[in-house]
Amino acid sequence: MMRDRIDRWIFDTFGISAHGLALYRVFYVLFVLVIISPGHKPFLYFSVYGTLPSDFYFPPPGPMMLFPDFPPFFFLKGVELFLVIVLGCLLMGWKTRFMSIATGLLILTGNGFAYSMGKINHDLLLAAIPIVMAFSNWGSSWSMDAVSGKTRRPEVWPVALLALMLGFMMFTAGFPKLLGGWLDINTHATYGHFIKQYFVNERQDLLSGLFLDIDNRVFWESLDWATVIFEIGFLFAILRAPVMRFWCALAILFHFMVMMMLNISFISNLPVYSIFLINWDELAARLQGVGSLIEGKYRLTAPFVLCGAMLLYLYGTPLFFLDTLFRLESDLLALELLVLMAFLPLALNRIAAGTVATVNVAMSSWQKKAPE
Amino acid sequence: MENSHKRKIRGGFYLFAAWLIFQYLMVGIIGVIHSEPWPAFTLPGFKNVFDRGEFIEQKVPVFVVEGADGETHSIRPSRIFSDIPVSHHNGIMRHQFNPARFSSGGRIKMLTPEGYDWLRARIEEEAGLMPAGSGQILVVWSDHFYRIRGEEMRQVSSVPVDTLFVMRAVP
Repeated sequence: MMRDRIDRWIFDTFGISAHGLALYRVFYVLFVLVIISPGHKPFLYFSVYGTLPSDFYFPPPGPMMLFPDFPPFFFLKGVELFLVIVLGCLLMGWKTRFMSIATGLLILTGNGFAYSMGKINHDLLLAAIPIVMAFSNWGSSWSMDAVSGKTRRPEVWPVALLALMLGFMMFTAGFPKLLGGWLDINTHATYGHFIKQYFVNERQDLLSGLFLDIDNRVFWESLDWATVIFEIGFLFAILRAPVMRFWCALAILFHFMVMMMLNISFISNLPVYSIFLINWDELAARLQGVGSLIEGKYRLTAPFVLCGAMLLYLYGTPLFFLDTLFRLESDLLALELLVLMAFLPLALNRIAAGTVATVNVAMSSWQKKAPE
Repeated sequence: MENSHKRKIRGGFYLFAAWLIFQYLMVGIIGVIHSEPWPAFTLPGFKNVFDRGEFIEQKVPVFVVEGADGETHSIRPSRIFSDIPVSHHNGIMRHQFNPARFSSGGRIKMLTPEGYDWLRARIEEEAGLMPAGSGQILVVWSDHFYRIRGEEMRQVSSVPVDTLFVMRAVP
């Protein structure tokens, strides 16, 4: 019985069609190429570490300890360049499984050296997504592989695996808070972090000034409780697709509020939230015409895709231009602000829909139990 | 055939779930002994809490060099590591220029001639200062204490607490 329930969760909970998977593949590639912009600060920017002397090589415990030093500048430049080329191939769906795994491994290689100076960024899922989704056969539709008939049947278990990874990682963010006293009503952890960021690190952009005016213990304590419940609750939210969708919408609202208050952004998890948040099948059905139109013309479009990817590599995303128009005092990028703002309406819509659905279920349950 | 495929995938999920728990335990243990392992499926906990009315303490490092003019100059790490993303600066200083990590060696960080020359060149490029003669570079760590007064936060004191001597190793 238990095994059946586990099987249902692994194989049925996060159902998605071949076209839905294909659209998500395109979304992931465009997100990395246009938003993250490999080869440019501050995300997947590896080559600078090749200019540093070996004295500063301080690998974290793990596979990076196998290397004695930073690799040469040209090697890391090559990793950035190959990443962009491989992403271009993944966009076109050419040798999709190989390109997916190569994308993940190239990100891991570059990040491994970037995190060998003493600081680790917790964006592992950005590399995990293409490696895991390679086994979903997200290249089985709207791809060069599909045109040449070299495809396998789509699988949905990789989406469940991503849910497990995300749920567990969020749990590891919440569990230390539970032990560290965030739920103690005499302490105010969020307020403490806010004050430190505002005054010591001078993160004073966006709505941070408004939060400084709030001198209400109930408000600040409720943020502590909400954070712990949200992060630990993620591990339980993965059990059902509608709850996971609701929780991912909450996650976007959470990151948006953190950005508004603390001026800290964390956009690298957006692709993994998106797979649960967006109804890819519905969107793919709407874009069926466009997909079919492009499908027969890959030989024509492939050079343009690769040229576009190379231009993005050489000059960076045009979205960096936003920073020249809208300069923030903190180290937050206008690009990060724009991206989270773009996701916010969808997240709010999902939260509203989830809340209404929960209320309806509760009401109908109450009506059934109530004596006639 | 179908059942065999499902059995393999289910087995993989069991193994991966066990691995997630094991690696979380390892991150906790190795993180205390050495530093945070990578890659690991974890996110930072930010478990610190804050009591209203208390001081906020922040350890702040600066590079200190004696310039060609004979004056002592302080240079923020953000200027030395300006090519590296800002989010990495604190981590670099904490792990690479923290005197406590060199206590057994007399709080001296020996750099290879290549490493020392790189650091010296960065100081010259970014701060326009030429470390004089001996070219000694120090990293001074201070405890900055802040206290909130209404809508302002004042730095009430800054106490130097530790110094790391950065030296050039003899080839």
